[in-house]
Amino acid sequence: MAIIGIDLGTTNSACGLWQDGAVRLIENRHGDLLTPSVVGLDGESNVIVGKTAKHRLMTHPSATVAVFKRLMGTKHTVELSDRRFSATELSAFVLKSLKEDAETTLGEAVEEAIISVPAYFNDNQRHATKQAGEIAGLKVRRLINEPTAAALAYGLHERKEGIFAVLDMGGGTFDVSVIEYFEGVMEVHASAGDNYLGGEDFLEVLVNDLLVKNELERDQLTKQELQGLYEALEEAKCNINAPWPKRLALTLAGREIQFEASGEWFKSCVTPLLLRVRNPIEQALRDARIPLGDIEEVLLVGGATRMAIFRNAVGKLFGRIPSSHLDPDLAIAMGATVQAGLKAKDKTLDDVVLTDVCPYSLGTEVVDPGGSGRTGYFLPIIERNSVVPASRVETLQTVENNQKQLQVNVYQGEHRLVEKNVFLGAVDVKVPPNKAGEETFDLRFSYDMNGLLEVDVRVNSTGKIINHVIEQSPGTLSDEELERSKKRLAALKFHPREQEENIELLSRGEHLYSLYLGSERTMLGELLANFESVLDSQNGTEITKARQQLKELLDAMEAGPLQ
Amino acid sequence: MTTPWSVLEIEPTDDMRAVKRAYARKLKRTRPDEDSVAFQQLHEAYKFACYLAENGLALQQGDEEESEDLDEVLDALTPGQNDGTQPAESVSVRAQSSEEPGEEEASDSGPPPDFQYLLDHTDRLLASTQEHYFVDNWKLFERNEHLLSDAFRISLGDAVFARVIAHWKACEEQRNKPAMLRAEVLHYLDSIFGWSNRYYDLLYSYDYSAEDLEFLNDLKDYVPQQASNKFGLKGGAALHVEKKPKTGAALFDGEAESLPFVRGLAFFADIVILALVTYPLDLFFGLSAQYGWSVTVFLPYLILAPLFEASPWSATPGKRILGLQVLNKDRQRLSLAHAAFRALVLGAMVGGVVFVDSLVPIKFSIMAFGIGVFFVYMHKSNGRFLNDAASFSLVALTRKPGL
Repeated sequence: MAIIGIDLGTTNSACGLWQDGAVRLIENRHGDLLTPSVVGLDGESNVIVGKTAKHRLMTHPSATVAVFKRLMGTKHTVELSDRRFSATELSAFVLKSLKEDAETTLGEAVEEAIISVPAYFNDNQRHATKQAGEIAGLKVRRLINEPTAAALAYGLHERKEGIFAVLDMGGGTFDVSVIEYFEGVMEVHASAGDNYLGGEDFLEVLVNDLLVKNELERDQLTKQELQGLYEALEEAKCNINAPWPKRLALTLAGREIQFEASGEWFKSCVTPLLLRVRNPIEQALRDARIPLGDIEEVLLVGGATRMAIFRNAVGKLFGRIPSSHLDPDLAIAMGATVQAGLKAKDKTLDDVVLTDVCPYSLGTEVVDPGGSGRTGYFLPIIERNSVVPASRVETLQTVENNQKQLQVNVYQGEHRLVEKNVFLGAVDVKVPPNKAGEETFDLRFSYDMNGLLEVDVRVNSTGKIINHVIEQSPGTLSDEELERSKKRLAALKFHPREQEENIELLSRGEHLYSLYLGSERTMLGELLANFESVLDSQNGTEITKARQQLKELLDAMEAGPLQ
Repeated sequence: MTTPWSVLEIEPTDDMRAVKRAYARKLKRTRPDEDSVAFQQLHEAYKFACYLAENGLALQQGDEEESEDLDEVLDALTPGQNDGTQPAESVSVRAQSSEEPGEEEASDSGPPPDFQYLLDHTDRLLASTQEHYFVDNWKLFERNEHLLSDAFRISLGDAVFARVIAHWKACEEQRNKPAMLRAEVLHYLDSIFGWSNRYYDLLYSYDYSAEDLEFLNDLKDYVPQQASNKFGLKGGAALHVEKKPKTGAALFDGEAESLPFVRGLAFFADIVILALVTYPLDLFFGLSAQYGWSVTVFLPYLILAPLFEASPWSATPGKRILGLQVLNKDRQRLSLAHAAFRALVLGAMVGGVVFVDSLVPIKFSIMAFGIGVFFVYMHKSNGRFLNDAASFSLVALTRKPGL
């Protein structure tokens, strides 16, 4: 049975399969390799994912949602047409859509997958991603870190040995990994990152700055206007390298606004974000204990690394021109696919081994080692950037006379106080009463390659061992909740594939309709109404003909303002 | 006894390539996802062998020495030891690289004019009584694109650092107590200038003492990532955010001890405003003659305060002016009923004292003692008054003073 590799991104997702010793990326129902991570509902309990949903973000903002990956690992929910969804469920829709595309392309059932996650995702976020896969009907065989995946794809592609730094800036996250490739071994030395730094944040500062410059408040705009502003600035951002400044003409809150999106303006807006790029890089190099000069190549992956200003900043930092031989949007999906081939023990990958690290320190809560008697101090047991699977023991002792019980709290993070770290779970242990400090116990943390943490506590005087797998962390679902989610989502269906193209065309037309004014708008309205009536007639040949015509027209109109 | 060499199945060697080749060969038979214990042993042996080979220790070592060496290796492997040398090295590499072609600014001819401007800004903030308190006032730094160049950032960072330390020392001398900048501001500046990453640079290149720099260690493990309130989510009819239980420990950030005084001032301001309003009424109706001044002013306060505290201001005018807000335990705005309850509790407390006074006149000495107890309590409670606690609300310094 096939295992597919999936890149579940903040803005775009993609999937692939390891076949005949090479990566085969899978086209979606529209013939694209990238599926936008946008989910929407339309009227009668139908789900729309991808390009179609992206068009509808402007025309149906209350029933469509994007950038939900940011909510992974939290209990926050998004309301779409009176129904509430968690980020896990929304991701499950995207995964389901990718799974269907893969099944159609391959002509067989796909039940297992490798999913990529940002290297700096914490335990809760990883669990949530895994569960999204389960809801979508995919057994997640492994979560692979995104920069590691990119390096894997690159390493196998170029067959070049050495130490390289992978900078992965996608839509929502920024990750840095220092990786060495030799003799078929892909060894990750260290990973660091920022979970709130990505292309979407660059866009956000542009939108905020434009609003401030025009003395507008976000609340004054309708959802449509706001989405229109996002799209206009997104386009400006992608074309910011052009030699001439882009002029924007927008109607916001009843005012005509002229704005010139110049490179200078862009630079001054995003400087604070570029300053934040430095910290994870420094941290990763320091943890890897590799001097900057030893880095042989700097690899850029993720769509946001296309920005010239980002490339410049990174170039200055490393003192060399960064390379991107692979398509930055697809490198991660390719790497996840290689990992899928590895997992399936494909013969062509026999000589490749991957070792990864855990990005955060894992530890427990202890009383102040300095002797003040205060609680709430963090004792790291597995230090960050230890190679995984990792297993470490720490011997601890009771702090009170006749202490009967002991609660082992498990945390993840780097702060010396536990309250600033992420709580993962707790284990209760009964201890025989004795003097303070007389009872000792061994606390063993085992972290496996999927990022699952197991905690063993051994009470030394009795020899009793308590074993506990930390699964039920906050923000993840219990088994019943998982089942309920599955049932709830099963009631929502995708449109039949043959209709999908028509719906996509209609949504694209509606999106254009909201952009244009005057006679073009009237014409578009007529065209769309016409197309709908042809669809109602259910005459196959007529529909194909009308679809072709409408498509050509829309293509021409879309190309118009860009000339 | 196992040596790294026997695990790797090679003879001791100084040749890094040979070590790596041996590790790669073994690793393909000991895959991390199949046998985790064996993999861990192999990886430790590999790291140890790398260390020995790198330092030329592989060939001269005998079996007895190994245990000592192991300690040494473990020391070398603990992060922190290398902190001093590494950043210094990378800085020098970067300094060279920034002179390479491709730089449009050509900033070689002395620091750009912004340098002095930003330093003056720092001086101004540090000299002010409270402007340095708010992170927003320091944000001028991050908008300056020269900071993207390393040479500029490091020299400016060091100059600002010197000023911060000098400010701290000056305050200490004057008031005999430490008056470091607010933790949030320090974290912010550190995120820009990376002081905590340059601990050893700062220690060795300037004449700071280790105590001066101690606070940098606390900055180090600070995680600055914060989600915006909407997480950057696009679309969707609404976002339902799960409320986080708040612990009392994170009630106020920083200057909690100055709060009782600020609150007293806010109350005084409210009373003054109310007195100004009630004075004309008093002229017409002679209220104060009938009920006494304390009632004519305090009673309207109790009636009006809930209306203001439940408004979007979350504050009475006096509190608003001083940047205070009344919040519930989830740090959200109070409902009108909650605010009324809060006023009722205050009224009942004051009323109780007045009632007792009317039965048994309270002596001045007891009154003075009571006030003394109140001040001690105020200090101990970090500015959380009895009536706040009894009405499940709190008052926090959340914004800049001013309307």
